[in-house]
Amino acid sequence: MRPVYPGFMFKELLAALGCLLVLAWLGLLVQAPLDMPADPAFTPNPAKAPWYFLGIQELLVYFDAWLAGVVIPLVIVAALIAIPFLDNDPGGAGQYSFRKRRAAMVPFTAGVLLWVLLTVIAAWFRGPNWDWYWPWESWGMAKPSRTGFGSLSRSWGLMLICGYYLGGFLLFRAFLRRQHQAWGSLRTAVYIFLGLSMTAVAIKVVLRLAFNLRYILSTPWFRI
Amino acid sequence: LTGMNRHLKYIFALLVAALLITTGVIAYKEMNPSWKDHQRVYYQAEAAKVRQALAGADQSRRENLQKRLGYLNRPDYRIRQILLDGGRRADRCITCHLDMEALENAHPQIQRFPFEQYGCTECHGGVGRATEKSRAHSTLRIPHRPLYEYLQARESKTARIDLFNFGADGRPIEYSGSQVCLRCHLGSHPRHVARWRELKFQSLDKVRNKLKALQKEGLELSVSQCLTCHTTGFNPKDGRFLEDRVTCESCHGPGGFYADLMAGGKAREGAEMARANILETRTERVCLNCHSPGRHDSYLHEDAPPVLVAGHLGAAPAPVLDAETGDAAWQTALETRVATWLLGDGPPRPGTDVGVRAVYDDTRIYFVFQWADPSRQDQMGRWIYRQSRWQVEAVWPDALALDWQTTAKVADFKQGGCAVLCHTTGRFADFPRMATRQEDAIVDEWYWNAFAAGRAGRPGDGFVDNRVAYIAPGSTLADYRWAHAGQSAAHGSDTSGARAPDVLGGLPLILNLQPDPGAAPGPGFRLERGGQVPLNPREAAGVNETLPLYVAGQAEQGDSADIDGTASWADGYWTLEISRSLHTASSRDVQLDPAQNTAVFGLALWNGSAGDRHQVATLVTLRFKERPKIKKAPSESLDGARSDHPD
Repeated sequence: MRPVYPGFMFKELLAALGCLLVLAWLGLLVQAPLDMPADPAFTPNPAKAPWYFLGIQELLVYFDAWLAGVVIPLVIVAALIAIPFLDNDPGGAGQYSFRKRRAAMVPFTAGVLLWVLLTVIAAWFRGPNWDWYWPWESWGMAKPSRTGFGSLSRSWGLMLICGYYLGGFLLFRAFLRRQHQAWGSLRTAVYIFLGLSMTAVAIKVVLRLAFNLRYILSTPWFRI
Repeated sequence: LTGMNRHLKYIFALLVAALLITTGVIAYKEMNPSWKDHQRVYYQAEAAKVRQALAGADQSRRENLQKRLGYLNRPDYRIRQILLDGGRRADRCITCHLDMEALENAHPQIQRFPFEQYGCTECHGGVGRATEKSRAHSTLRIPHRPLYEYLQARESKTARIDLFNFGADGRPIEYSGSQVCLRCHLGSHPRHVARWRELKFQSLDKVRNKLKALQKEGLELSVSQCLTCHTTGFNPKDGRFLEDRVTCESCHGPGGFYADLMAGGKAREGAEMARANILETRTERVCLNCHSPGRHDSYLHEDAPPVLVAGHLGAAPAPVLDAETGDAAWQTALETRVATWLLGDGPPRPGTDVGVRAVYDDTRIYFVFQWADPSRQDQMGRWIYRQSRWQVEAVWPDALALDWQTTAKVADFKQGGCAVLCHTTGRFADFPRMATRQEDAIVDEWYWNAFAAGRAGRPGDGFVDNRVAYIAPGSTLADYRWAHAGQSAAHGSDTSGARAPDVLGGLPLILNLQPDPGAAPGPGFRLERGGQVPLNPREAAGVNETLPLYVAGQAEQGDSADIDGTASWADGYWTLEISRSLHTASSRDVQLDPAQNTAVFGLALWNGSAGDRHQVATLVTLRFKERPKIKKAPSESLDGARSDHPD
């Protein structure tokens, strides 16, 4: 067991300095979104949320408003709250150790990166009518509506989603046998479900942007 | 910090150094904002100017200049702004754009829009408070070159400005393609879109094939000449175009202009400008760009307006006006089939084809028209006094009209024909019906309808001028275009008042002649021998007093009796034979001169049993075939003449 000070504290200091440096350069390079006061007679197009909500706004492209605006944020918050209950392994406490904490580090980092990615897309790649605009494209010209845009049939979509979760469960359980033994069935199941759901969001983003897939499953209540 | 990894120390050193440098960059940037550079350049240029002036200045000016130079050498760098809305908005544009003289030169009408009152962003858009170029200019949208005219157009809802093709920087505004327009306007203007899609959104293939065929025939045609009209967004410089069809932007102008307005939340202004553009400049710029006379003259093939060749009778007997086509002259005359378009609310649909033949001799011209009409309709509507007011029972007879240009002034006639005189649908509803649009422009109208002509024994010879409503001296009743004989010129009568002693007080279905403007429409009087006889209708139980819409049966006299003609209906076809002297005494009549070789007329057709529906043809060119020098067989005298579509 190594002492917390100086090793761990020094690494914390380095991380803090690194963050400060990144923030300083962001402040230098990215304009603060200070605009005119809102004018009811003037609707900007696109109407973008403050930057910290842009990720959620971008999610609205891929799912219906109830899923993207209510369910997914709630699941994220619930998952963050659940972390200490899911992973109560005391190993690696008081030190930086990726190896010992891989099960916690990998999904958390992936989630943050996904969030950053969504925010970046919404902030810099979305133009009028929330269409995709490369930074060098002029916003002066609206784009024609996307063609060849399709959704899967309901039965196909249902099968795909069920298959994804079922296959994912089996696969993860095979890989995480040791963790399964340590955590027990319930905690492992919740962990795998959250991990699969997060990956599913990323998969949906790619499917829509790159493969012209509007919805995998359309129901009268929600659309995935 | 003993026992620590040495790599971490290096990283620490690196981070600290980077942070120090970053602090320096931040401090430098804060002390040297980009607007300061603009001001510095301006002050240095000004100082140089003052120094130059100082060199040749006399003592009295010297002092002032020196003072100014002193200031310019130690200038006051600061953010400059115009406060607007009582201080709630600030335009800081003049922080960088600080050469007021140049600004005033660029704004010739600055007296009307002073900077202190309007600032800059009111017209130019942009973010007034920002002091970095990228943000300040981020929403700079409205082209600023013709802004005064733009504002004027907004006030007057008219525009004669070239706002639509060129942007602020003088470069052409981008075309966006109809797909972009239709994203929203498919829903917002469904009928207009459906109409144009059906009519004009056709691909270029037909034109391309025609072009190939013509080039194979050895005809030299410039491709861009064809593409200018048959495509959207054609650029004559590189020969490229956006869409191979005639779509939204062909008339409304490049979509980039409207996209700017839409993106700026100014959809209503965009609509106003689009309307102003179409209405006010349609003759000069929009329609006539392509719908110009003789646009297909370089080759006589399809799409050229139909040509009717009138052969000279020679020694043959003149046809008898009996509504029969058995005469020898008609047997040999070449028939031209004139296609008509049925106008209505939807897209124009193909109407009834009219077969026309014409012959002439030294004094008269003869026409025969034949067209399909499944039912004969020769009744006219009537007035019924019901529920204490006169109500119209509208019934229209079958009719055919020819419109000739009497004076050279009739604007757009050669392009629009009858449609120019009788704009009845859509946005043309604002124009007066049955009227020309300039002083002294007269169109001669030969008008036949199954009701009036059947009773009068001949078609009417009327005219259309630009007077829509006028009061004759000493008369208490307005002389409306749509009033009938004695008061109006249209449709077989003459303003001389010489004819029609008994007529009703107008046709208030269109315009109310009732002296009291608030009253329900209805004839308030009838004319009898020149005087007004008030109508005192009775409404007895079960008996409704009626009056005809038109009083008929009067023999045509004077000018209006110039045309002879008879019509007959049999087996689902009308046959109408008419004849007129080539020359008449009336200044309102078209004078036909075979020596001039051609004349042009518009043709319109009404099917009474289908309601008041207009079927309008494009203009027909009447070509006089010369009198044969040596007597030939009549058929030979017509060769080389074009009938309708060769295929």
